[in-house]
Amino acid sequence: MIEVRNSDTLLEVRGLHTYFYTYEGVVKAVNSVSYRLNRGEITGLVGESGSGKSVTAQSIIRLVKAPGKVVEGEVWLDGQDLMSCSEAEMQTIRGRKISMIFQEPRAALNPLFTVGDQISRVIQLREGCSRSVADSHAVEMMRAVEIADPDRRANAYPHELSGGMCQRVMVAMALSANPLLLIADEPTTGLDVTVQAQVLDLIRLRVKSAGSACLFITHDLGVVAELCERVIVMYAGRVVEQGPVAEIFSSPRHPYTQGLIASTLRVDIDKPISTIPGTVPDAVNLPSGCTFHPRCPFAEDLCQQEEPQMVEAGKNHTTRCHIVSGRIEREMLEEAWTLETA
Amino acid sequence: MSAQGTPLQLGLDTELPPGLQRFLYQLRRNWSTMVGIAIILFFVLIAIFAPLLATHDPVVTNLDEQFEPPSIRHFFGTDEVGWDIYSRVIYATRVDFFIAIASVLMAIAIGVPLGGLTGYFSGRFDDILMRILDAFQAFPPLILAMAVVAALGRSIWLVIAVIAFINFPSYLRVVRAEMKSKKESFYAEAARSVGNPSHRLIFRHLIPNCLDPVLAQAPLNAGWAILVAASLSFIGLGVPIPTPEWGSMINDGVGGIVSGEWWISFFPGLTAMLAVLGFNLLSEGLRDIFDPKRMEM
Repeated sequence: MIEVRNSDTLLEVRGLHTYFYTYEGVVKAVNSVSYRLNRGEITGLVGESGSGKSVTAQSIIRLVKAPGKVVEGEVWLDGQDLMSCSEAEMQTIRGRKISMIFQEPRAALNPLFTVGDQISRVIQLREGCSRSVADSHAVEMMRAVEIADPDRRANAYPHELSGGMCQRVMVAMALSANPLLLIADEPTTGLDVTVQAQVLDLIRLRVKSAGSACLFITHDLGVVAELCERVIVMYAGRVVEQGPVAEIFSSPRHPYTQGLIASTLRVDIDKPISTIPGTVPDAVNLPSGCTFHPRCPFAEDLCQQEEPQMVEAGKNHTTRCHIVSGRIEREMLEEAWTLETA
Repeated sequence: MSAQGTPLQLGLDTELPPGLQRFLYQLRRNWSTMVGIAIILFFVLIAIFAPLLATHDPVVTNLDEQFEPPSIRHFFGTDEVGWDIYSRVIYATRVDFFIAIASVLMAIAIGVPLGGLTGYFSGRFDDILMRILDAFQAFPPLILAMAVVAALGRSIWLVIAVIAFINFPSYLRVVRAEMKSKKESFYAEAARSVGNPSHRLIFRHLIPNCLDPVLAQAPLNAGWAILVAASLSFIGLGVPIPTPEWGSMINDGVGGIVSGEWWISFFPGLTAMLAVLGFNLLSEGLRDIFDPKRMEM
């Protein structure tokens, strides 16, 4: 159903299910998620809080916290199935082939080591080089991420640096390993806009020049539009739509994506901000059929009874909706969103 | 070197390592620590130079000079066998400080790694270990110490081991508690995500971050160790006579308090109190100094 582009595919996730076994019941945080990332491309992963974005990332590097568990699925990175690797192999893959950038950069740095030291250790681990070589390499990395006066800053502790500075350090650390795959989990939340733009430029530059792939997790559609080539939209643990950025933004096919885009603030058009009515469903008791039907302005009986399958909606563009698949014949009008809030 | 500006700048302007500079900087701002350190340093110097400071041999009896009150010849007087109290107090510093420091180090060496591991892995092992500790801690510590020493005999090493054994659960508990929160931190997750195996994550990244309360507790426990050692000796179960030790010296003078020979118990008691005070003041200050999160104060 999706066009196969093997040569370019770096990461392929197939039928990933990650469940959390809690007291209240089983939470299907990631439910049958499949996608592929291409080399040199940045793919945005968007969705509301609790839609399973971060858990998807944790599943890829196999660091899902208990009581969570990857129940089913395959993750192929550069021809290697990560789900069948031993834990020891996985430890060499983390950091070497896959790097992560976290939100809240200051909290993601160890407060007891200087930032130079922390970058240096990653390099020592990767290259197996001596401490002094790694130290000077670390300073170079800090210069590469445009930290002013890197020699001096290398000796600073995380709390002595600003949030933006810490995020650059995180980026430097993540990129110093020259990873095949860079997972950025909301790396710009909490940074001010100018710094945000710089960090994004940095990520884009490094991904393009190194030919690696980047999975960029965010709920900021503006960032996605600016940075990414492709978008994956998740809702309640499922991928509801994925495709090229331009197409998703110009002609979103899934009602949820339409709602997301309609609810972004536009200064150029004088219209009230619309919202998607209702809230993200309770993860333990997901609605029957299409999980989005209770909030969908176009929902009909079929949506409640039967779960829609992924269907093609354009070139490299798939979505999960009965209306797109033609099972329900109905127009999806953009006005539906503004009407809801009026 | 000036005390102005942030520690970061201090570290770059001069030759001293930043850690030491921060230490000195904090020290100047905190007089109770200064007093604590001064007292401890004073005792450490006494312990080192005991042979030079003592006027008499601490274990040679002199029956011609029993119950002498404090004088120029015997600064703190003598006891019933003619031991010079001053010289014995000086030498007892060696014994008591050795017991205090060795027992604290031993308790830390057991409690910290065990607390880190059990806090990190939690689960069944953690449950069982904590219930065993609960059982041990349900005993009054001094009774436990008495029972062990009474059963196994009297020696300095046994006293040290017993005190360490009484103290290690408190280190284990604080490190375990810290570990439980630190292992969920973003930097732990970040460290895992760059491929650190569990053992390196625990011992290199997490345990050092769990040491703040340990640093504050160590001197407190050292002071407490002196009290326990003295208490054991006081009831005749600690360091065997004639080794000079504050507790046993206080015990020697108990009879003299009513008959007027107050100095036999008074001077060792005063010294022990001063030492414990020093450790307590130090404990309070160390917490501020070694905590890098409060550096910018």
